[in-house]
Amino acid sequence: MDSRVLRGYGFSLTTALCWGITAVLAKWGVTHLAPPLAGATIALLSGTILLTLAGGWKQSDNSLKGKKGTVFFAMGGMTAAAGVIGQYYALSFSPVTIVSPFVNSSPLLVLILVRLFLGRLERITPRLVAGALLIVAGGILIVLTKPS
Amino acid sequence: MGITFAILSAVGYAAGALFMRLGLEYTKPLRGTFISVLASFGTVFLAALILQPEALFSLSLIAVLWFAVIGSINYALGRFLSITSTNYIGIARASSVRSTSPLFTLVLALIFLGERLTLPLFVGTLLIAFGLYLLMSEG
Repeated sequence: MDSRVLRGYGFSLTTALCWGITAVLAKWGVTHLAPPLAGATIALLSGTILLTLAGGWKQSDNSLKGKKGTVFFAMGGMTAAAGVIGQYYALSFSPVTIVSPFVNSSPLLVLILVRLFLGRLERITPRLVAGALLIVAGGILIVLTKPS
Repeated sequence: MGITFAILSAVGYAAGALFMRLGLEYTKPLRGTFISVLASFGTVFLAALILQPEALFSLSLIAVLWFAVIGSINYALGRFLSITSTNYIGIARASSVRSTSPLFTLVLALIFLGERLTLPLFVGTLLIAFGLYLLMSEG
């Protein structure tokens, strides 16, 4: 396997580890310390501060290309935040057994959106769809089985 | 109502991932991560100001520190790695691999909370492992 691809999978799995750890911490935090939106605000503020210190703001690019990138990432950040807010509110109306299958299916929605809009950038193969379906199904099974 | 919000949430996550993939065509991962987390912060802060203002301004120091740790792991490190991995293998593969996170939560619960591995959890783990194998064996 190409080293770039290997790094990509490694980083993706490390992201999953980060999210797995924070799911436990956030669950405890919103149960004992603060309501979800207030907690998410602090979490995102600390993330912004750390990324500022890491130099994320320094690499500004005023070219048209740079501005396009800024717009896409800003829209990505806002829609992802809408996903977080939607998830909190879904959980306040319905149990996790109802909400989780929908929310955890978002990678399948990604595949559909990529097929529709990013066909020139990425190829969706039957093997990729099968792998994604199995991962999503396994994830939903684990989320629905473990005590919340 | 819950299902409507759940569907909106899934659409939000998926659209967010797609926008960030497009952004990578024009911007480097670190700057992209910074912009996306800043935009997420602005959106959630606005929602918190409108919907839960009293909660936002009455947080204890422990709560602030607790969620700051979560933000450092999830948004600074996690989102940076997530966007970097998208840069390497594309959003279709990266988003599928990232959704293995319940498996890591399960492993942590087994190690630290003494939870037991029941049959459904074992089957879920096998499904994820086989799904990962299918993705990664494609190269």
